[in-house]
Amino acid sequence: MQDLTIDILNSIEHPSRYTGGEFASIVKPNAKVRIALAFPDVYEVGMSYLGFKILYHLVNKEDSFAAERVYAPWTDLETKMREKHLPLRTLETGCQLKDCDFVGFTLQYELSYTNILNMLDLGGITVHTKERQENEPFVIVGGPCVFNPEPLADFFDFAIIGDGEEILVEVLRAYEGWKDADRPGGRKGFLQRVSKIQGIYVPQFYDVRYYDDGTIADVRPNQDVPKTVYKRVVPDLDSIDFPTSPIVPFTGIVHDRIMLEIFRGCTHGCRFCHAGMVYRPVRERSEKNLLDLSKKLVKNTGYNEISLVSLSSADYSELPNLVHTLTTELHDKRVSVSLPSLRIDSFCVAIAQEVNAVRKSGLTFAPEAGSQKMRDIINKGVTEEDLLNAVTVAFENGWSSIKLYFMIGLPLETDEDILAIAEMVKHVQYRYYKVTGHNGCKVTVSASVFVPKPYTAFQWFGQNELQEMRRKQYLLKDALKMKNVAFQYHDPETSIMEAVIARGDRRVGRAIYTAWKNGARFDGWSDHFSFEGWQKALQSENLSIEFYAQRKRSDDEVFPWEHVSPGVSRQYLTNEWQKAQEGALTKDCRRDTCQGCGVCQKLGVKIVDYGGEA
Amino acid sequence: MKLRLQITKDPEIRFVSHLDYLRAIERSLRRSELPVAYSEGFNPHIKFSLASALGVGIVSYAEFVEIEMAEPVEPEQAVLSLRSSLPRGIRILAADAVANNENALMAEATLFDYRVTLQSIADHLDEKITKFNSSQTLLFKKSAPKRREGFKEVDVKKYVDKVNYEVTGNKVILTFSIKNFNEGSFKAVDVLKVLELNTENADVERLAIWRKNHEPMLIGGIK
Repeated sequence: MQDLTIDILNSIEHPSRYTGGEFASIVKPNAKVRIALAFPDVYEVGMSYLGFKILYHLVNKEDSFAAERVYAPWTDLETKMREKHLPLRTLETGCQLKDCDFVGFTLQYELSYTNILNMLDLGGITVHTKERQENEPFVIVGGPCVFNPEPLADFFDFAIIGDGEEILVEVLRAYEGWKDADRPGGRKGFLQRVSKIQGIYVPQFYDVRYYDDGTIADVRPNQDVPKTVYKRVVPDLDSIDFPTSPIVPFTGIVHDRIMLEIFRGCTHGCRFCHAGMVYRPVRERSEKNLLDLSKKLVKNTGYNEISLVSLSSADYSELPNLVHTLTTELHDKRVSVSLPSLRIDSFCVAIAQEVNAVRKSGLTFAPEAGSQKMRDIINKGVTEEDLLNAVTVAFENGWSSIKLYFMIGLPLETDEDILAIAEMVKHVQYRYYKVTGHNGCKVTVSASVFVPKPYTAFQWFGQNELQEMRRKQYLLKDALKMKNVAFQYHDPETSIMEAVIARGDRRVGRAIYTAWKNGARFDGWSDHFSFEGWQKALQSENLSIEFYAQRKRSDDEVFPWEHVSPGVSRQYLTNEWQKAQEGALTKDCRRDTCQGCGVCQKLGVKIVDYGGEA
Repeated sequence: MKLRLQITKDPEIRFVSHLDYLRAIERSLRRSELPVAYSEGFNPHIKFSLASALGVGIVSYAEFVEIEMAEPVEPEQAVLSLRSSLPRGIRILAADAVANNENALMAEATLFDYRVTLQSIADHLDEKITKFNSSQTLLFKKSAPKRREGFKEVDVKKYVDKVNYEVTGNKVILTFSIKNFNEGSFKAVDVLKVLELNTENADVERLAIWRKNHEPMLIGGIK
């Protein structure tokens, strides 16, 4: 940003966050249509987001379009910017946000929403959509949390639902056409045009009516738009470009390595999992394509690590081959391969062994719950035996520290289920003793508080109350007072606010606005999060935590998000909610019969699985 | 052999930290596919070093990097392959090659030349500089966070003989040289502090590094 002078940059933390110029960044001052890809968190977090790497590449590939980047300035810089009236600008051409044609935010996390309002404001853009002037940019949102965009409905012009690769370019083309035709119909004219593209949701074209009890009576279009906006799906990932020359930052970022997406979607069907529902169906990239991409990525970036990313990388059908070929080919170039997510079984440990040839960094598993009863309720589909088999192989191969992830506050959970986590840890440590003859296996237990999400089987569930969350945390903390066990947990208040926003309606937007006006920023950072601030904001808008987070929703309630859909049918989710209460399991449709979630039929897509018959 | 390069840290990347600058060079070397030498071990890294660390915010036209090669390369060729791999803001100004047993460049640097541009003319500027130049010793409390007191008292004049200045319009340009000893050196911004000048908007540039007797760092190098 050019108006950040030496004295400003000298006085703030991490100044190179704001100065751009990184290797392979693309600067197109003469582009006809400019979109700022805006990540509502700091540079180091935003630069690690693969979605924007993909979109940056696809947009900039078009001659007349430019995609640029902008991140949330940290509070030290914001203070200076406000003091000196400096606007927020993109890193590439230093374009003030209000002068871009589009500003597109990704919704990764509910607690980043105040940063969106703040970035709009710092960028000189009117925060409320309905007050936005003709010449202001269109504010777009996309990303996983867009499957309930309602809490932000007052602030964005339209949302892109689902895979963004094809649709974003279609939107930019439509805009170019509209601009060339001298903007027929003004802003509204353009919104009417884009609303014809499948996967575009324009909130002002829908009216929401409420019952007296605050629940939703109905959501009805007030224009010629679809009653339900279904997401876009890229049917064949091999058919679209994956960036082989991503930006290589100067400063260390959160995921400072090559990220190669090996497949999209996951159909294990864990009942708490939002990503597992909204990214369906599973679509793999071919092994040949991945090998080709990885070669180019290694050559073009100079990174020394390549991470094979997906929601559950061990499920990639050709994983052993892929990993073997990659580790062999990349060995001489001193490039290591990493797998971010491991399934709980011995096969995965063997793969981890191969990629980790010598370095014995910790192994992480996510049993999610301690008792078999709970794991069945959440449809996790693993047993304690699976975990013990996995750690046995790990211990035999020299690992001595294990990290385990759990959730507490799940539906139908009792104290026994929480105490079962401690039992499981004991069994892991005992297994270490049996394998190695020593004590001293380090186990790190991380337990997060469950947040019910839209479009999951648990969307009806009333979240635990604050005192109950605390009680469960202490119960587990006491039970884990064992040698060589570390327990990690976080303030439950953030989980409550996540839950309020995750299943919030349009009225929650007023509280987000008030919280922001009262100074809320970086709510996802525990040292910035103020629960009191949020409580006040909700109160001042006559909204309650109880209504949004803790209330058990009735079977026939109309949810605020249902006019925007990933294609998963309500009936399927109802059945899953029912099965959860019976402790009945649902199989993965990838290699089994169709479980009837409805996505493939509704959207006309299918599973792409190179493993074929298992 | 060791490849030696004189490279820049141009104004556009001046706020990149020393560590990040090193990492940018390492990644550029990997992209160039030059036959660089790697260290052994689980975490192999390229064997290269910089003659001196540069503070965040300082521009330099005289960074000297020394890279150990696994097999000999022609410096001209190496420069060609490396140029397209470097990020904007790092340019190669000169290159030469020496045997592995040559002294490390780091040990050879004895003098750093700086230019500092100030955005306003400070009060009593001439007086301050005359006093600096005519003093035999000038004690300065250099920040030393590891010490209990938080500082270390050093004699600036041991490092800087003389500060020259000229005024152009509203700006002041200072030039001076700082000596480098085995046991350490002195920061350019600290020279400004000694002179009681505003450091916040000072534009500090490192212009050159010299060996003993004002010999250039790269001997017989190509441009």
